[in-house]
Amino acid sequence: MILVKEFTKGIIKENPIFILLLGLCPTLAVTTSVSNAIGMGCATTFVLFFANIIVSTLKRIIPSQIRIPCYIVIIATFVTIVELLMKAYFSLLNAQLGIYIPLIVVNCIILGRAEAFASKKSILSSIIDALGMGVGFTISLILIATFREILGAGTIFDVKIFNDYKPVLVLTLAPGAFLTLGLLLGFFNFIGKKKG
Amino acid sequence: MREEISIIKSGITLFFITLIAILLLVTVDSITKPTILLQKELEVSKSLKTVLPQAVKFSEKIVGDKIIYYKGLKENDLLYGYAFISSAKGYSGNIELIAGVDLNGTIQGIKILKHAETPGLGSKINEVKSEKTILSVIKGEKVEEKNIPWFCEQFIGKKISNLEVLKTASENKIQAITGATISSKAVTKAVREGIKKLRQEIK
Repeated sequence: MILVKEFTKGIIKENPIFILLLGLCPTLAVTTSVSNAIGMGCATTFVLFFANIIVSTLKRIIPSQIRIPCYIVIIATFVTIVELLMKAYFSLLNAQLGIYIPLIVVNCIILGRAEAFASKKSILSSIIDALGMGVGFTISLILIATFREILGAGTIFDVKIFNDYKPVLVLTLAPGAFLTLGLLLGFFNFIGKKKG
Repeated sequence: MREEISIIKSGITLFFITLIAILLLVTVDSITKPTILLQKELEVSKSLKTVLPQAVKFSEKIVGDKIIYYKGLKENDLLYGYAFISSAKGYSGNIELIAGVDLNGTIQGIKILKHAETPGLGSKINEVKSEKTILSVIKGEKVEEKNIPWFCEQFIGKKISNLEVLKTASENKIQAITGATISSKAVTKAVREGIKKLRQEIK
């Protein structure tokens, strides 16, 4: 039961984008299209999964004073290894996800979960936490991207919706990302307040 | 005294963690490096046909002083044009591309080989616009898809004197990608510099 809660909290109660406000930098960048959002979401979930496992395994070895530099070294090393392996042996996957990998290193969700969760909890709950957070992140990205892609580019999954629709160009640019994110944040907070 | 000892202890632990990280990275890098280079060569030889569509045969790689290039030949073994590899600094990291020119210096095609531009903005230099609409998907109609990104397509048929980036659409200039002027300019610069170097090389 606890594990189920560990999973679902990442999607609603502690949603990384709408509630924890983590990883906003890549969020603003990749949510111009739904396919970008899915790519980024999958890549982040993958890295988060293994980063949580590694940090949770090493939690007794790492002294608490220097835990942050240790996490950074571990995460950056892991991401770089994944990048090299992908380039060498999975060139198709690399063509799809390659551009997201450098963005993941600077994604604070990974460091945030290592610090707030994996360094204190067991490996199993860290895995569940990573999956929940990853799914929550992906869903939120898709939500923002759907809004921005339909109105900003007039397409969904790169497929044109109407033939003669003039897109609201500002939504595909950075200001549009802030507007969309702000409105959705307000919406989520409104719902959260009503419930709580 | 106790505090100093704990600082030294932390320092040593961090040292070992970084050491392990370095060793891991060096090992993986040395294992994957030859394969990555091979993948790159494969990608380049596959792209030759895209950037010089009218050439039938290509020479081996020619490594010049300033630039790496290939000769494109016609059926009767006559020289048709050149394909060269060039790069320029984009918004994040280098953008590497291969471009083909005929003997008059007209660009026949370009293809992005490597970039690390922001997904959704700069990455559009290498994105193909779909011609599908919801209606055609529902009806199940076949829509002819292009396989050249629209940004790269602009270069086809241009000469070096036309390689200028503008924010608005114009017939013989390059139109910048909205929100990604730096990336657009970098691609154009790589092509322009590449042609200049190629000219010096084949003189």
